[in-house]
Amino acid sequence: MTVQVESYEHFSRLLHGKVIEQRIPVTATIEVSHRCSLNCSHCYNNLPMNDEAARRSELSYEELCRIMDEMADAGVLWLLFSGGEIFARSDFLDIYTYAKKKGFLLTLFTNGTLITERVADYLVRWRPFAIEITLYGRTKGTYETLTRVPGSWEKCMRGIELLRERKLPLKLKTVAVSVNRHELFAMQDLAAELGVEFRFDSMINPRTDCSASPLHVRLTPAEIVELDVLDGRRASEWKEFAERTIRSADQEHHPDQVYHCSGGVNSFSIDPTGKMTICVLSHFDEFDLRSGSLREGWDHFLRGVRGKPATRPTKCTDCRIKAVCGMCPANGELENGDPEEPVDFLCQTAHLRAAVFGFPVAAHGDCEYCEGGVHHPAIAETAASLKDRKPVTSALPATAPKSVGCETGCFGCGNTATTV
Amino acid sequence: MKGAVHVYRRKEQLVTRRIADESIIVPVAENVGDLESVYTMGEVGGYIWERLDGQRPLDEIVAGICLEYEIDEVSAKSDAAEFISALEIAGLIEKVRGESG
Repeated sequence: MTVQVESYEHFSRLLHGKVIEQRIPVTATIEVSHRCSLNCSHCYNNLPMNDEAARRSELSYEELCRIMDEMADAGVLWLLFSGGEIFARSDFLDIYTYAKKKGFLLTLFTNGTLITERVADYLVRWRPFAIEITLYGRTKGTYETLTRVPGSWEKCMRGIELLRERKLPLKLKTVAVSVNRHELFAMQDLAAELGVEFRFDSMINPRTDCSASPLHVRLTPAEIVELDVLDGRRASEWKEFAERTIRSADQEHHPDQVYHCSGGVNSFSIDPTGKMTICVLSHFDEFDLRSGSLREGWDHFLRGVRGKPATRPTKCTDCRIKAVCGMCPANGELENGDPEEPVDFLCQTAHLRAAVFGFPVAAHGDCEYCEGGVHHPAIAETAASLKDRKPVTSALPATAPKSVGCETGCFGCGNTATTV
Repeated sequence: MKGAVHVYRRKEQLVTRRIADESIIVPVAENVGDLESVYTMGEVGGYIWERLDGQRPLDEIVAGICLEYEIDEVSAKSDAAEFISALEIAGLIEKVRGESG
C-alpha cells in the first residue's frame, strides 16, 4: 500500500496500456475556436478573428463546462486545448480554469501572439501540463510571410519570453513549408538557446472546409525526406522507429477495418461548434454534442465509426511501411474525398523515406513506387541523391489531390483552385 | 500510534481522478504537491485517501480497512503509517490533530 510518485513516461505507458483494453477515452482535444490572430497560408482550419458567424456558432462557456463534466466522468485525463487560436476567445482563461479544477492534465496549443503578462501570471498560478507555441520562422520576414500579419513576429517572441521567464513548461514547434524551410534549423537553434524542446512536422493537409490552399506551400516528398536526412536526430529516430515497427512480425494489422489509429479507442476531438469526431482532421462522421450526450457519442457513435469495415483492399491494406507514412482515413478524406483512397503524396514520401533509410518494403499490391513500379527508378535515383547530399535531379511525379474542393462553385471556402 | 489520535486531511487544490481502477492525484494549483509529478495509488491506498477528510481519526480508517479487505490490524496499521508518511513527504496531506489522546 504505497503512494507512487510515477515518472510521467512510466505512468503514461501503464495507463494507456490499461485503457486500450477497456476503451476509455483518456485523451481528448477541444478546439475552442477556429478564429485566429494569424492568417497562415498552410493552416487547415483558421478563420479571421472578426468572423462573427464563427464566433456566434462556438460552444458557450456553459456548454463547454457541461461537456467537460461529462469528459471527466468518461475518464478523460489528457486534454488538449487547440484552435484556431485558443486566446481568440476572451473567456478562454475561464474555460481553462474550469478544466483545471476538473483534474485534467492540460496542454495548450497557441501561436503565442495573444499572451500578455496577465495571462502568463495566471498560468503560473494554474500551471498547465504543457504549452506548445508554433514558431513560423526564425526571422520577422519569414515569419510574417507565412502568417500574413504585420507585427505578429514581435508578439510571438514576447509571448515566448513571458512564458520562458516564468519557467512555464514551454515547447516550440514548427510546420516546415516552402516559405520557412530555409530557417528550420535556425529555429531549432533558437529553441536550444532558449532551453526549450523543439520539433517540426512537414505534413500539410487541405483545409477541413475543403480548400486546397495550404498545398501551395507544402514541401515536395524529396524536400521532406531531405530534412529528415539533414536532421541527424530525426534520422536516428526514423531508423529506430522502423526497427521497432516495420521489422516487427507482430505489428498490428487489421486489413478489415478503415481505422487503425487510437481515435475512437482512447481519444476523440470536439470542434468549436460541439461536433465530436474521431480526430481534428476527420469530419465525415460527426456527433453533435448540442443534441446528445458525450457518453452517447463515445459509446455508440464513435464506436461505430471506429469499427467501420473497409470496403475494398487498396495498396495500403498490406503495406508494411505504414509506420513511416502519414496515411490515415482523415488524410484520405481531405485529399481524395474518400477515407480509403491512398494519398499519393504520402505514398511517395513513405517510399522515398524507406529507400533513404533502408527500410524493407514488402510487395503490397499494385504500387507504382515499389520495385517493378513505374516510378520506382525515380524513387531509387532520388534516394541516392539524398543519401549522398547531392542536388536532386530525378523526376518524381508531382503529387496532387484526386479531389479537392466541394465543386459547388461557390468558393465560399476560399478554394479557387481545383488542382494544385 | 497507540494512544494517539491522528487526523489528516487532503490539501485543497488536489483533484482525485479514478481511471481504469487507478486513483490519480492531480495537483491543480501552485504550492500543492509537485506539479511535474503524477501520483497514483492502489485500491487500499485509494480507500484511505478518500477518507482523509480532516474529521476521521486514522485508527477509524484502519479499522475500516481490516473489515473491508480482511487484513490483520498490525499489518494494516503499519501499512497505513507508511502510506501516510509518503503522502506527507509528497506534500499532499496535512495533519489536523496528532496529540496524545
